[in-house]
Amino acid sequence: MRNLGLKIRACVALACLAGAGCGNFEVQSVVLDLRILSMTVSPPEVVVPLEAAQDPMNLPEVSVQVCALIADPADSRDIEYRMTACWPTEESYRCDEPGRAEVLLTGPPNEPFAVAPDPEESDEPVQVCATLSSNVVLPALILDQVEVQGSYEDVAAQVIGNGGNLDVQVELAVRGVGQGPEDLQYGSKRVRYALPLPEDRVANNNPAIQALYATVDPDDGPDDGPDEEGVEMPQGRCIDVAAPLVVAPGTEIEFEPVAAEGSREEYEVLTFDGRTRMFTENLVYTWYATYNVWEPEQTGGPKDPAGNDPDIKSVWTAPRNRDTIGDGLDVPIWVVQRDERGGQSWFESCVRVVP
Amino acid sequence: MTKAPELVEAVAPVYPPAALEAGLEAAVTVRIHIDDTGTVTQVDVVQPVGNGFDEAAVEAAEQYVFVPAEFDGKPGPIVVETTIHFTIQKEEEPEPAPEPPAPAGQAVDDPAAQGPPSHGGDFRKPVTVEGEAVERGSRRRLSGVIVSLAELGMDAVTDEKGKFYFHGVPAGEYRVIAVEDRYDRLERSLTITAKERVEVRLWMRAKGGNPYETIVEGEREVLEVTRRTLDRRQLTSVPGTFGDPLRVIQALPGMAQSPFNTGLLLVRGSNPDDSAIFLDGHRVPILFHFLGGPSILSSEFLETIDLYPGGYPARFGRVLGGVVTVETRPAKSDGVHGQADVDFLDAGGYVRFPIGKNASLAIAGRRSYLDAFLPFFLPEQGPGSQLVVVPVYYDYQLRLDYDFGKDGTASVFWLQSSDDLDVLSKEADAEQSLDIGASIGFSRLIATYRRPIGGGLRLTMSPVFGRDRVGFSGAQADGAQEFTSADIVQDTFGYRMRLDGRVSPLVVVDTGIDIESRVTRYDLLVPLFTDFAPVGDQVDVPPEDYEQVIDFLAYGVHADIGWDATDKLRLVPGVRFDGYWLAGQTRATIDPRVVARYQIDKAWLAKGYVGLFHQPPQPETLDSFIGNPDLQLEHALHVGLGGEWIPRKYWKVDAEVYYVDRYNQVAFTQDREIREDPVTGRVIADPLWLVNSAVSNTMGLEVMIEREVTRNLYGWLAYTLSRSRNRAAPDEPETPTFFDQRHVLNAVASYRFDSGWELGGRLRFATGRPITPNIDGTFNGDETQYEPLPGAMLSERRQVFHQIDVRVEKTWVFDYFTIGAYLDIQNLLNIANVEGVNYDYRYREEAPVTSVPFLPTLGVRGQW
Repeated sequence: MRNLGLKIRACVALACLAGAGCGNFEVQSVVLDLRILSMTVSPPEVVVPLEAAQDPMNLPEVSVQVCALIADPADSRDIEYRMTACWPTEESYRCDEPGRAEVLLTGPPNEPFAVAPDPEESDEPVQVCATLSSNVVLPALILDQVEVQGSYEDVAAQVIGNGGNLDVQVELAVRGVGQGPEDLQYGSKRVRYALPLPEDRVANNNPAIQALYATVDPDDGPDDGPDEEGVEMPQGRCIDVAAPLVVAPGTEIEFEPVAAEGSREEYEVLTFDGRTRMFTENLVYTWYATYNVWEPEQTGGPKDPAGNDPDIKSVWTAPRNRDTIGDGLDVPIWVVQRDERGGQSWFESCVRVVP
Repeated sequence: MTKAPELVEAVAPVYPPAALEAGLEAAVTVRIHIDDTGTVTQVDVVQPVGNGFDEAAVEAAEQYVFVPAEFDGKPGPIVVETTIHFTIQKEEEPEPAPEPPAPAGQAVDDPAAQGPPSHGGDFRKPVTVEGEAVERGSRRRLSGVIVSLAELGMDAVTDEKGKFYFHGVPAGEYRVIAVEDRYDRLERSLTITAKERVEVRLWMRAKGGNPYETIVEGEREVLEVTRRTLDRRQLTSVPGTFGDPLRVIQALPGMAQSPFNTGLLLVRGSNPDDSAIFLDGHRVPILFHFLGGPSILSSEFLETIDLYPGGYPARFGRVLGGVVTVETRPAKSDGVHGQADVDFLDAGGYVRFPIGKNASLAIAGRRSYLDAFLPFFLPEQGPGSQLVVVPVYYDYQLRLDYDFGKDGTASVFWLQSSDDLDVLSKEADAEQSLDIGASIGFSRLIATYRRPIGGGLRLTMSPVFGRDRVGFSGAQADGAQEFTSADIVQDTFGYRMRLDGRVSPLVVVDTGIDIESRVTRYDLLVPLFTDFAPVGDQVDVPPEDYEQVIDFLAYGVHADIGWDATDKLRLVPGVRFDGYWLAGQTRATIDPRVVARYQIDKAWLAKGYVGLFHQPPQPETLDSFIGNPDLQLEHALHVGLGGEWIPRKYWKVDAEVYYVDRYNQVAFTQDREIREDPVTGRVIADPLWLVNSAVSNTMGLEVMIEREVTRNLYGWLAYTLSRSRNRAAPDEPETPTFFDQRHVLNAVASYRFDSGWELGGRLRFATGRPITPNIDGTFNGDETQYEPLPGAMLSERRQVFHQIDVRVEKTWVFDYFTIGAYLDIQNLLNIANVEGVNYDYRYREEAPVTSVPFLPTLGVRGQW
């Protein structure tokens, strides 16, 4: 997808030349303020008995934990968050459709927000999580959906049409303590309850990043020589990492993630005519830092349209501005790994830029 | 003769109804006897042509009133000869009628010396001077020009070939004077030596540049309520159209403002696909080249363009929205004539010429050269990189006409249009190199045979063959093969037979059959995501070959009967039957409709209509894999009520209120049909993809105030008030349609000065189109990117669109040709009309995408 992305950018550039307006916008990979960078579900998929299709109200109890990676580099403050479960909304990715059922996961209706300490400066890494209990959430949402669609049969048909999957949408709303509703940042994540279709269906697991390697000034070596060995990045927040990677201003660093063994799973999908198709997961990496853009901002994924394997590396350049750097600047970096079935994990590290 | 007779009052001849119905045209040369008071005392037909034309010409000429000719300052009788032309539709060749009669040069009281009017002097003596009068620029021979040898008082009137002769002119120096109302007076010297026969050509300069012909035009029978017909002059000089005739229809009532000037046909709130373009009676897929480029047909090939926004005759079928009809011009020519034009984007040419006595041929072509200069505007590439963008469009046309005389006429018209875009991006890293190509093209071969068959009827038979092609390909640059491609080819064979004409003083009929067969072949190399529920955005689905053939057969019978119930009321009941064979299934429908026109008085007319219309689903929507073969026909009810008012000469006001109710329209659905396979017991979930669940309606008012074309001025003001609503399914909310625009106003005016300059302006104003605003973004944790949070669907509108275009043109007329140079400026005030917006990654900030900025275009075109 990397190649295709470049081409799309070129096309956008051409469109700009042709007279279309182009804004000078912030980019996604530079984290400037309160942001949701990742949302994970553990486990990302629950396979329920086939009988559940007949009686969805009597699903076995399964607890699923939903967690989020939050960054708030611009402020030193606690944050508050709310998680809500609802039937998936088609376009909005929110759980606030009027007249629709929703289940609060983080507190009672009169106090829906939970509080977490400052993500960058707290003593311990922050956990922004909630637990979704199938016995609590699913009956409420299914009953509501029966009312919307008219019957259990219609709901069951929708599940079958969705490949045998009953999806629940979890909405996350987060803001700094003391901020108002207009400052809320929203995120959305799907929790999947899957019928055993096909029969030997295996539930998806979250992938994991085993290590992250960094190569400093990757273009300095001989063009035809072997790739330079990268250094393994320490994992953790800047405040927790004792020995971050130290680089000079303007240094180019190429990062390469290494997925844990078993992260790329094979799986079968039920087709509309009752057969199956086999796929292997593709891992996508999304890159973030508090300064300077990544190139590209997202790597990995499936083969590009021409059949080329994707590149998973991304390059980040250390800031050059001396006022910004001062005596030394710690730059948190994050890489979020995900598969196409809802599995996700993240890796946080730190680069120190010194003049 | 010291003064030629001057025509002060002329009566247009009445077109013989039977001849009109039969499509007959004629030119009647009459000799008019004028007494010394200017009164016409006698009219003789020089060579009868029959079919009622002779009587009509005589009847008209008898009502002419003249200021008498003078001989040595005293009024006297004279005989003049002129030709009155009867033409059904406007021709470019000026064959003016009624012509002002001119003196013949001989007095009736000297019969021995009298020859034809084109001969001056004593006819018994040998010809001393032979000449012809021709129009500067076009070299068209001019009849009816009075040519005098001033010193001798000798006159002649050029004949229909522009020829004149003087007999027995003695040697000497003379002044030749040529006079014709529409041309500048010409005076030149002439030296004749003894026993010499002199040939002379008189170049006549039209007043104010090119003259506009006055031709007796037989009105076509009106079987509809609203038809907007564009005059030839309007077609090429409306500001903001780059002289492109087909773009002018977008300035008419009922047409919404097209996004980015792309030329979409947005008629009365309909989707572009719901309106149709008929070229010589047969459908064509597009009118314009890509990216809002020029039209696909040379303007020289255009005879008429009609826009029917609704309630159109039954001969136009299988369409719900509006209809645009384009009729091509016969190649008929009196010599070799042509036209060429050049501007920044493309160059084109046209030539027509006779072949023998009865045949003629016209050829036109155009090609863009964007590919030549676009590289200068592309961003500079880095080392090892190369970016090549090659957009090319071209079209060419050919028309062969043959005149069988009383047995009718035949023509063959060939049209080919092509648009190609090739983007080659090479990088040092071969994997990042890309070669993308896209093309769209179509061709039509249309044959037409037309002849009168008696009883006032005219028979038209017209087969057509066409091929439409859409292609797309993507490959690694220098790669062995494409990784994705689409090749969609549609072959069309059609046939129309039409009988129309006035069968009695009270009844006009227009009836016929049409057959249309289309075979659409899809050959795709694409990832097929269509056989399983979506898993995620990063699934590896390699491209697969997908081939499909969809057959379409339609057969229709139509009839409109215009009945003049009273001398003021015309009723036109009509009906259309259509049968279909679509994707292996049959469908049929009958659409009745009725039109009424009531002529209240000379100035006022009331009109109305109501009728049913339908259209079949698009071929691709019937595909069993990606569409729904069970889709039914889409239907619409058109209702309109209006009037016409002619407050004074050259002015006309036309207004209509209308309502269009569309139902059974095709819409996307996420519904699936769940069933159990009876053999395997597997649960099967068939997606429906498309269903006939949508309804929409449009109501509005259209007003057109028109100042008809005269020598110097034309213009119009077109206003449309419209409200279009749509509901995708019964349980869905009603929203405005995507192209709904409450107010659309177009004001056009152009003035031509006698010096050859022409100045025109156009004002456009339109309510912004509905949009669905994005009010925030939501981080999609499954795809680690933001999704827009849409507001209420189509609940807001873009800003009001307003723009002023101007056009300045100067025409120079030379002996053998004319040259015109024009400057067409779109968006003179550089108003930033917003057509879309770009958002930042989390949909909090936006930047406008604006329409065409200040855009001057300089062009040159020549005619000979």
